[in-house]
Amino acid sequence: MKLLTRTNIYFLILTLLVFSLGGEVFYKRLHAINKADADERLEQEKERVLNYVKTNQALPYNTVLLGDSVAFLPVNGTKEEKIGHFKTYNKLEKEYESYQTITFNVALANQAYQAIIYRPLLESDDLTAGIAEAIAIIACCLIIVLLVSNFVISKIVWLPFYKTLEKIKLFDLIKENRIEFDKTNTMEFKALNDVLESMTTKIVSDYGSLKKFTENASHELQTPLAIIQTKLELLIQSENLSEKQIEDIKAVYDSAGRLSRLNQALLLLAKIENKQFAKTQLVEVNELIERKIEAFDELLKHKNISVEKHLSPVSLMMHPALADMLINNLIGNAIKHNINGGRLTIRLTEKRLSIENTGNPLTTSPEDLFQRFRKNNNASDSLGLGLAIVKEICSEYLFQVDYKYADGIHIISVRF
Amino acid sequence: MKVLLIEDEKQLADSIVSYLEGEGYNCEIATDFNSADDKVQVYDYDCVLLDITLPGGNGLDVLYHLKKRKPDASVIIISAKNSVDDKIRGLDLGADDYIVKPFHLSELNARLKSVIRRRNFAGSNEIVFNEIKVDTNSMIVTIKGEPVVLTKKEYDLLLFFMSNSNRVITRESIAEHLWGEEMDGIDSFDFIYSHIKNLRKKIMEKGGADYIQTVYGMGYKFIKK
Repeated sequence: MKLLTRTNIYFLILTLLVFSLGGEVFYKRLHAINKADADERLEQEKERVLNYVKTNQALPYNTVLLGDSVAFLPVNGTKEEKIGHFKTYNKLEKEYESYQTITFNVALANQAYQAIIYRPLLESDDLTAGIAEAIAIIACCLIIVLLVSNFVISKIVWLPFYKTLEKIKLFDLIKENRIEFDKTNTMEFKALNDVLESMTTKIVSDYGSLKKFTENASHELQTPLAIIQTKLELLIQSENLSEKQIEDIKAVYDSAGRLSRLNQALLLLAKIENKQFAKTQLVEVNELIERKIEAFDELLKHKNISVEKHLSPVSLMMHPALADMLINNLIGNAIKHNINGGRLTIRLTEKRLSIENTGNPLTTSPEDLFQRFRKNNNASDSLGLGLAIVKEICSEYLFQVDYKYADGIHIISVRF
Repeated sequence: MKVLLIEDEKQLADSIVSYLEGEGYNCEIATDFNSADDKVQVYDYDCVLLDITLPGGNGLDVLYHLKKRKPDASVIIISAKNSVDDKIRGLDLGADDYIVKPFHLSELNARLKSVIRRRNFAGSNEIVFNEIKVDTNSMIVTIKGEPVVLTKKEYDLLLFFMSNSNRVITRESIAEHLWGEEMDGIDSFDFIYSHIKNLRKKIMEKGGADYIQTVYGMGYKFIKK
């Protein structure tokens, strides 16, 4: 829900609440004023009647009373004087009519009377309807004005916010060093911009130091590894090594080599995660596959693997090194886990790349296949990072990679 | 042949020097930016092996100064950073090759020889090893004057052996030399063996001697008899 819609709903509810309460108060107040006014008039009329009687020593006609009705009832003695209320049903108009009454004593020489003056009040139904109508009109006008002005004002007031939002949306950690927002006078947006600015600056600098760390880690580890490897290489040049010594040196040499490959693979994963392969260019995947098949030619022949290719021309925006690695690892994997005399089928369409190879069933669960350091065969020499790298590259470009096994055929497919 | 090795890690520098001196090179070492920069300004070398990360400055600046003074100087960058950007910058500045730590000494040696060969013998370019002659321009191999037809891999293998003659060369370094990182993690020793078998056979068919010796558990050695 948009902020504007939300505030409008609250405005609407509040307006209706205020106006209905206001209407009620208005009605009561008006009613009271009307009654008080009637009472006052009745008192005046009473005075007038008494004056008339005093002067003329006769009962007045209704005319002195400006439309209010007066009734004189002959009584004995005096009765209680009071102001009262009277309601009657008007059959003609089919509604109740309210009257305010005043009762007082009039004494002529020969007869005492009880005088009652009736003054019609504004009918409460009419009053209610009138007030409701007036309030409804005012409320409608107010709501319309409110909505329109709200819409217009929020467009103006919220403009810096939307500008900021747009800036953040377009912010690219790899390309930009810092983010700069437009100046605004609104305190809240100023605060928001300041916070965002310092946050992005911090992120950028942290990202930078992380990148530095990756590089440094690489340097720090590769150098000792290089020393170990070169020292061993010199050592094996020695003439009179015993068989046992050679075996030991070989074991150290192999481990150093393995460590070095491991380090490089982990660094690669870190670099992909840190988006250090941000540059992309159009890579012709079908040609890349052809080249890789060519490079693996010996290995394919060695294992007597027959290759079947169904490649349509496909170009993807990728970093060339990552594209190379992706295809290399996929094909390499399909050869490595193939059987002697097996098959390798590569299908490439605009939508997907699938690599199918014959091979023994997995001994581990397929879900683990793309995890780091998961190997189907623990004794094998592989690092268990090949498919983890494939997965990392795929997630970098939002490709979906999955694995299937059916009838002795492993299928790894990548959906672009 | 005079080689300047610019490398701040003493142990690594010692290994490299030890190997290269065995190949008959005269090596000098510079261990920091200033001494490296001074040396390349004053002396001439057949090749400079340059580490990019140096105490006191960036190795690429040394390269820049060297190339300004002597545009045809041969330089191989030795870097711990396997970074594409660094590689491109180094090669743009005029480096001849780029090798990433950790590397095999045999590989460094082969590349050094290749760089020096390209510089020194513009035109005819022949390596002779007893009766074996290799023209690295036309990639033609002759034994006792008779051409031998080798596959690309066999040719690379022969050249690698000849560059590192009388040295024990591990199977790992051969695999990396022939296939680079492409075959990473793939058990490639079986077809190293078959390549070597074929190469040996082809050399001997043309009357060459059997130079390739298997070093048990380790690799091979190309022996000058």
